[in-house]
Amino acid sequence: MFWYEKKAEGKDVCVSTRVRLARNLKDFPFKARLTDEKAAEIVNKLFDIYNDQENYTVTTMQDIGRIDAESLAERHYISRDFAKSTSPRLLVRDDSRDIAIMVGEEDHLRIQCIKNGYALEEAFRATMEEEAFLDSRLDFAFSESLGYLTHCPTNLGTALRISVMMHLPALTAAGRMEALTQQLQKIGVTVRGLYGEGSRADAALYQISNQVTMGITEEETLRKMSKIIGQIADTERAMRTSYDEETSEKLLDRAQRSEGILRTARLVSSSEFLSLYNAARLGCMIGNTSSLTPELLDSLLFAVMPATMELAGYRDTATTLPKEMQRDKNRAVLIQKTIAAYGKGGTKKTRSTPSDKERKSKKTPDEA
Amino acid sequence: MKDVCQNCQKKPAVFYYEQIINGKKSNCALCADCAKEWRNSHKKQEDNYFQATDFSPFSGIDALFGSLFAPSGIQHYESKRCPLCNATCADLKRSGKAGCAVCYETFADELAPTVRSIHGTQKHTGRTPASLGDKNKKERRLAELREALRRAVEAQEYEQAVNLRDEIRALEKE
Ligand SMILES: [Zn+2]
Ligand SMILES: [Zn+2]
Repeated sequence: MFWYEKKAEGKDVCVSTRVRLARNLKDFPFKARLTDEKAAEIVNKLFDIYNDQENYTVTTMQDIGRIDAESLAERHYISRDFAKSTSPRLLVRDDSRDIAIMVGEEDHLRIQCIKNGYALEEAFRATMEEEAFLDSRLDFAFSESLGYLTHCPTNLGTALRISVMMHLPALTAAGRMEALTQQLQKIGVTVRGLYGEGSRADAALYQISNQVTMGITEEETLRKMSKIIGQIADTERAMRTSYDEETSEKLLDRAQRSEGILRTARLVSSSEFLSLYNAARLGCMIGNTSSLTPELLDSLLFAVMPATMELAGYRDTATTLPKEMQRDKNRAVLIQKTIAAYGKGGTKKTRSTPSDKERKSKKTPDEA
Repeated sequence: MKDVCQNCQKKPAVFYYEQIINGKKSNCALCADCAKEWRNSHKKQEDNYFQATDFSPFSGIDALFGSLFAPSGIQHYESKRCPLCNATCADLKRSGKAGCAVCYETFADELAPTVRSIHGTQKHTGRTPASLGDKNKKERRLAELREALRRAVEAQEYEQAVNLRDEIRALEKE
């Protein structure tokens, strides 16, 4: 099961949580000055470590196709650069813990854990555990004063990056993201808009990450980030519940119209999808009675990406349609099939919108 | 194929200098120790060299590295090379990235302002590879206690705060 299909917490505001550590091997030059021969040596080392371990899938990147690599990047298992690179690379995955290790990225090793929704503690523990496993088998480049030595000086120290992808439609609509971004920048936290920021297709998705990695411990970084994410989430939630009746009515109308398009349109472009996603997702949270959920919409967010779509079998059939149009048509079919399957086999058919507290205390028997 | 230091004729040369004095160019190769001495004797000049830099934090790493190098008006420049990856300071400047772990030692002085302007500090306080033992354990524990103290004060749990303060003081004295 892919990470974005798993059960998750905090879905009202969080799409995903990612924790990553950069590590380099002591006696090898960094990427820019590494020959393919030396890179292959590192790949072989890691291959030997993981090959006889249970639960791990080890993939030599040269052995998979371009579409497969692109799709992995679209679904955030690997970086775009890693997908495109031509030097020796290895991808190690343990999907049971949502761990993915890139060997031969900008740093020799990028150990990451990506989880659905809000799961900072879990992702942090899993990443640290994986690092400890490798630490006992490899010599990492480290200096007492500068910490873990990384290709780019911006990652020195803990080399830890914690990022949470958040859906913040209320803050965005109120025009508060710019001020928030500047405020967070001052305390060493970066906010990056994703997918068509500022354009009409704005999906109100943001990646919030720590910027500073030195002079702060791993645990402090975790605490700091969980506090900041919590504050942003609370502000977004408060704004959503403070809408007056008129505004709510308008937003719900937009949400239900968006759902209508998702369910019935024949052509859906990727930018249109993002704005439908945005409106429908907000609708779910302010009292929409539709069967769409943030979980479903988020899994669509990844499923409708070009390479991932193609990999799922949605490729051009023998038509004379222009390529773009065929893709938009495929996207519409995929969306409708996914929604239909979710309604039938999905765990939740309808959804009320309990607050976070209620959701925790009110466990249904099948959840317990 | 390593050169021998031209000064002491013993240790391997790792620093290459190109000097231009009154328009005449000469090269020399020095070991780490001799190079240090050489640098100290040129300290004054170098101080001026680095004072000319003008940092604006977070303006992009290339700009940070770029601002380190203002070659005009200087009578000499170094072409020091990293003994492991053979990178020069100019290579670091061009890519905005270190060539290998040893670069951080080799170019420690040149990189210091960059590191400081990115992170606001040059002291790692986080984890350590298991093989080196956990030297930062005390600092990490202190950071945790200070955070707990801050929270206790915030929550007005003064009894708890006093206990934490005592624990911090005891640990600091260790
Ligand atoms: Zn010497
Ligand atoms: Zn080097």
